[in-house]
Amino acid sequence: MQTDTLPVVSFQRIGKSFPGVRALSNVSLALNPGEIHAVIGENGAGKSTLMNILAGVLAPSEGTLMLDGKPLRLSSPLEVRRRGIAVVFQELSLCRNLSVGENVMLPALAEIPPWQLIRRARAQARSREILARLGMDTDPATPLRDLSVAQMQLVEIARALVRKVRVLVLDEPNSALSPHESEHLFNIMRQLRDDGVAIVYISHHLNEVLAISDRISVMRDGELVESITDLSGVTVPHLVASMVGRDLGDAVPYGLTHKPAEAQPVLSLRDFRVPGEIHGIDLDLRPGEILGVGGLPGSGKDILAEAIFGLCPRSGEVTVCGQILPAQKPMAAIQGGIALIPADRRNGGALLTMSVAQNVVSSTLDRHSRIGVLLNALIGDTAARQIRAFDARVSGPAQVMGTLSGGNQQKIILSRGIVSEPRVLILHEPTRGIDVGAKAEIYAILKRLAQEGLAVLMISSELPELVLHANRVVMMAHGTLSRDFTGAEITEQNLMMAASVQPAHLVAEGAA
Amino acid sequence: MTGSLAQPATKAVKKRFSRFGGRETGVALALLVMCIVLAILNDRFLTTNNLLNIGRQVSLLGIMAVGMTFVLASGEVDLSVGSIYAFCGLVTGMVIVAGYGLFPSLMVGILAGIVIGIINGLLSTYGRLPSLIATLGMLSMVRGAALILTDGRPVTVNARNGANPDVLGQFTFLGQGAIAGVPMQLVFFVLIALAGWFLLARTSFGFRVLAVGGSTKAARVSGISVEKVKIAAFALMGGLAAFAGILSIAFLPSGQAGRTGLGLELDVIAATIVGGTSLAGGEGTIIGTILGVLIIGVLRNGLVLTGVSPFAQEFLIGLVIVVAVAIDRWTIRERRV
Repeated sequence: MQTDTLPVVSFQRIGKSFPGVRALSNVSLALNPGEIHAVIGENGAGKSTLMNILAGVLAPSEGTLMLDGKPLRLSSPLEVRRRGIAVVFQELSLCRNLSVGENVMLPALAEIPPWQLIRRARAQARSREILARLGMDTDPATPLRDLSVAQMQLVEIARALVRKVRVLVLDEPNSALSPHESEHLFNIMRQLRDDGVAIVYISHHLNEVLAISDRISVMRDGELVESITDLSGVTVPHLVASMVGRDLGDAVPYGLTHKPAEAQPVLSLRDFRVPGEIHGIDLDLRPGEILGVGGLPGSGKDILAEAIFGLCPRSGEVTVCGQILPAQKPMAAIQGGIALIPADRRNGGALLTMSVAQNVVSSTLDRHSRIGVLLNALIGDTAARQIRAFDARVSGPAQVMGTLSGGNQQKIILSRGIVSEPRVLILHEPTRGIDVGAKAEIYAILKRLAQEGLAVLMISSELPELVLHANRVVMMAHGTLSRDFTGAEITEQNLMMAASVQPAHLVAEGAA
Repeated sequence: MTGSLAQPATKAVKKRFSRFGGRETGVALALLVMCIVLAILNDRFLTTNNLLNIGRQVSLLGIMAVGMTFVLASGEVDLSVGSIYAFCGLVTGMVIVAGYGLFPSLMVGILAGIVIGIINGLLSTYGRLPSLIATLGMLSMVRGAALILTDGRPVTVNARNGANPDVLGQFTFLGQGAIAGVPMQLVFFVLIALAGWFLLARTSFGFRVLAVGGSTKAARVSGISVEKVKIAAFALMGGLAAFAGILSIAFLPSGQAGRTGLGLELDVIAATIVGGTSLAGGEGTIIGTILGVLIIGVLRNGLVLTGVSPFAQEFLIGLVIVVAVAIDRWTIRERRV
């Protein structure tokens, strides 16, 4: 908390542009030794871009990065590490085939020249020390793949502590940790801070942020909104307001033409469970509505779409139009009237090596063939009609899917879903990686489909998407569902609060 | 206005060309160049006799390559085809020698091939083994089964060994006969290639094979049963390898478990890949495969005609495979974008 000392790292007017996107503009931020500095913001606010610049993964388009008051030209992530900066990303970058100890010591081992022998015993002893510091008594010889995700997360952090560290960035370090393990991690963070390390803590869990940080910086739309040093009196709602405080004046929420509550639900989930992810939820979806489902990473929302559709194991009851759907039978889901638009186009939605026409009809082959022979004229007709209906910019039905832009690919995948004449359309991250113009078109399409009586389930990490384009929203947290938000209650503040609640049993545990 | 309309049109034509012609055009061009060079070097090359000879020589390889196109396009590989070829050919030969009729003998051999193919498919899908490993194991097991069955001795299909003379006549006709001067083996290859082309390009099964090989996940989202499609591709491969093996023993007319079709799987995979089928799955055409088979056949024939030593032949064939696939890989970016 010695804020008067010279900052170790300072970002000075940093800007970063990607083709067509401005990820960061004019961000100035100082990281002081002996300070836990929380950086918070919504998805896409620019936190990760900023940390990637610090890690030497990305180069800034504008501005300078200073280390100890001197401009820092970062050539490589290795160079950054040598200077005492360690960034622990949320995605695990561990080698599952190696032992725990080898994983911890990997950056150090990688620097040993090929003609030198590795002193295994010494490396193991050192890794055991570091693991013990993090409260892990795992034998370094244990294969990494035998560890739980929580333990792996700690191994990832342990790796950052092998060398003397001056700046430690932790991006969602405890997303998989139990409250007990988290508390231990916080103690280590405090201890490192007292040793003079500058710690950057990125988290969506705002109550934890308030509990541990010395300074909180809020980012929004690539800019630094505020940097709070005096945390007395700062509350979670205040932080939420600061994170989402955009002008929503021009946005018109989707209006209902009829009251869907009176219609029979087309899709019902009862005691719906996915082992380790979703712990028994009930959900009803009615024709004509766009139901938004949000939640933080790890809340269970990312497995929901595929689990309903039957791509992964689940238990509980899924009913479509009164018929119970068998588990793990995607074809039954399609025939029952469900269409899925998965989150990952490149690796899930699109058949990239095949033509646009083939992508349009790939889930309705039976209708487009007779005794197994493809009816090419009919396929061409269907494709041409869908290309027109969705206004997809393609040279023709024969164009290879992989050559289309993300937005046009998404339109084709949507049209595939519609060709199967579904009663329920499930979309997962429907506009991820799509430019603004195509986004608006896709929202318009969804709205039109809902007005025609389709039931739409839209699962998204983007709060504005849920606020503006759903007429009912539920948030997931720790594998359970929040209450419904409808009408004027659908605000980013309310949704963010619902997403970051502690589950009841953990709150009770903390109180006791 | 007309200009802006015309531009997308030409672009579309180019796309169409590159989609349906690009891959095969390169291989076809290479084949044409090879034929021209050989025709100049040796005046016996372009004779009807020699061309029919090439056709017969590549037929068995070609029949198997048609099956391999399906397996590779579905994103898998089958290393056991040489062993299936030997095993099923020998089984059919033994059944005929035992005095059974032509039809049951053929059925036993072909069904054996299909069953082995289904086992390959089951191991590679529900068994969760990489097909490289599963079929490597089957390569050895099926070859071993053939050795056990024949006790390592050659099987010769003739009347002295017990074959019914009528059946023997019909059987050897399949391997050695000709219709209007066209060898039966070539007739079968042409028929199977046509059927294979239709199956891959024009049916929902072919569509599913390409979809599964292109992206397992996207195929599942489309409601395609990835496992069933792959097992069917392996079964088709097994049946075709068996049929090729049967034609081989009908031609010679003998076989030996320790020798027949040894290393044949590599020739089959090489021909299929030279023809533009992607080892990664999702891409492949029967026309390309036929061209790939012809390149290898013409090359081998040409090298013999021009008197290149057998040792140098081996070297040159390997070189052609590497160069052909390298050109294909290096130009892949231009085709994709």
